[in-house]
Amino acid sequence: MEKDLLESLLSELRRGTLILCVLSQLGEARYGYALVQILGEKGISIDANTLYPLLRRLEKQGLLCSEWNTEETKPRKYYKRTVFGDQIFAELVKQWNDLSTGMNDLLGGN
Amino acid sequence: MNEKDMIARYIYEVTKRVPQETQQEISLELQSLIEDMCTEEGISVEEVLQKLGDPAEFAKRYRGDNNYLIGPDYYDNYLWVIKIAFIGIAISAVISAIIQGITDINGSMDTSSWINFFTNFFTNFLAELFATAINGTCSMVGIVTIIFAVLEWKKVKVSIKPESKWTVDELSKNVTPVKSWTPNSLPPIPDKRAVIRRGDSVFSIIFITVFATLLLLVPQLFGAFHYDGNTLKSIACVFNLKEWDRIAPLLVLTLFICLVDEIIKLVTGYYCKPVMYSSIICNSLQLIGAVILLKFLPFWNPDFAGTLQEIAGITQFSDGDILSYWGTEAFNNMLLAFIFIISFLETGEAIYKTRKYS
Repeated sequence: MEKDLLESLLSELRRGTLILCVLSQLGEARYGYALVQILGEKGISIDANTLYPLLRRLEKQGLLCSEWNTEETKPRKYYKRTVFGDQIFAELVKQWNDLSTGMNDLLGGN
Repeated sequence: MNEKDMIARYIYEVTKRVPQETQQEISLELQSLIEDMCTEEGISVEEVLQKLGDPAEFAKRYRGDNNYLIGPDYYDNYLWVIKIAFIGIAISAVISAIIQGITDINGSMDTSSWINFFTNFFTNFLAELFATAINGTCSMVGIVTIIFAVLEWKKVKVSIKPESKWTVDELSKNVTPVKSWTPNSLPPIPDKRAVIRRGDSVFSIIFITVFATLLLLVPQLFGAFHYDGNTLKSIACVFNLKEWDRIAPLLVLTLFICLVDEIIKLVTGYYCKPVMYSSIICNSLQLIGAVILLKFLPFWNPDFAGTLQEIAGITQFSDGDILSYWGTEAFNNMLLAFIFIISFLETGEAIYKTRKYS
């Protein structure tokens, strides 16, 4: 029970940061699974069944654009930040830095 | 089942649950994802699919929709209207049960002694009470739910909310997120003269519910009951019950439109644009319904006046008697004119009060 609660609190904590994680890696075009791997290597685990729908949503919101690459053996959909996505990303990073400074203060004070 | 089959089945289970225009793309996307995961992680297809999880859950994330029929914005009002509708159903159930019990519409009542009469009365009463309560509850809950589900689906703004409520969608419109709610965005308190009294709406909703339930379940109640002593000899219904299957749906649809209008009024609570538009649209639709019912469908029982004459034993109604116009065009025209006037007054009030006070 305690473990379940911790799990759900953790996933709630991570959820908000996922968009920033994803946007950060899409300055250059990448396909979904490559992103899962890159984030995984950096210790951010994201399930494909969360990431793929998220990518589509961000594209719908105009933050990402996509293109199918059919030259390789498998057809893959590559995502990349749009100009608008760049602006939003920069703004989010700024907010994140402020937030983490504040958080560190709070947690360090304990 | 081989691996290829398993993949195809999984993809099908996901894509059948997402909008059609995205199905093909999602299918391709999943195909390469599953293959990538197999090769890169060196695990079997079964393990990959296990990892991806329930396809229904996956599809839900793709749809990204709210997983509810009636969301928190409407839930309170929804419960409220359901409660009011229950009052209406309770009233109509009791009315129709009492009448059913006394009049013995089915003609199966044993009136030879008081004990038999009471036993029969209560059997009929209870049977009718339960039947009307159950039927009425099912249909009312259904209708009210449909109305609110449509409001939710179309995101009709019926409640009082600040004009600029921030949503994620605005990310795509503005570079920086708009400051959300500020005290300045509080809407003005509606003018007292524009307020729609809750009591009025509640009364209308109860009335419509009672009327619709009775019309749908026991239309024969609207008629003249002819008694010979204690036994019911005949009922002359004002409506054309032979054609009722054709008439009732349109009649109930018209009442349903009234109900939509009243719910919007109740939820909003004051005259404003949504109320005005709903009033214009609903009243127009009601007028169309009334014209079709009265002009194109055999709405009235043509024998009603005749039967009354027979029962009363008179050969001719006096000149001023409304029954002497029964079944004539003039009768329907008068009624339509009356309905038109009421509708115009109601729409006029909505337009006037919206323009003037809100």
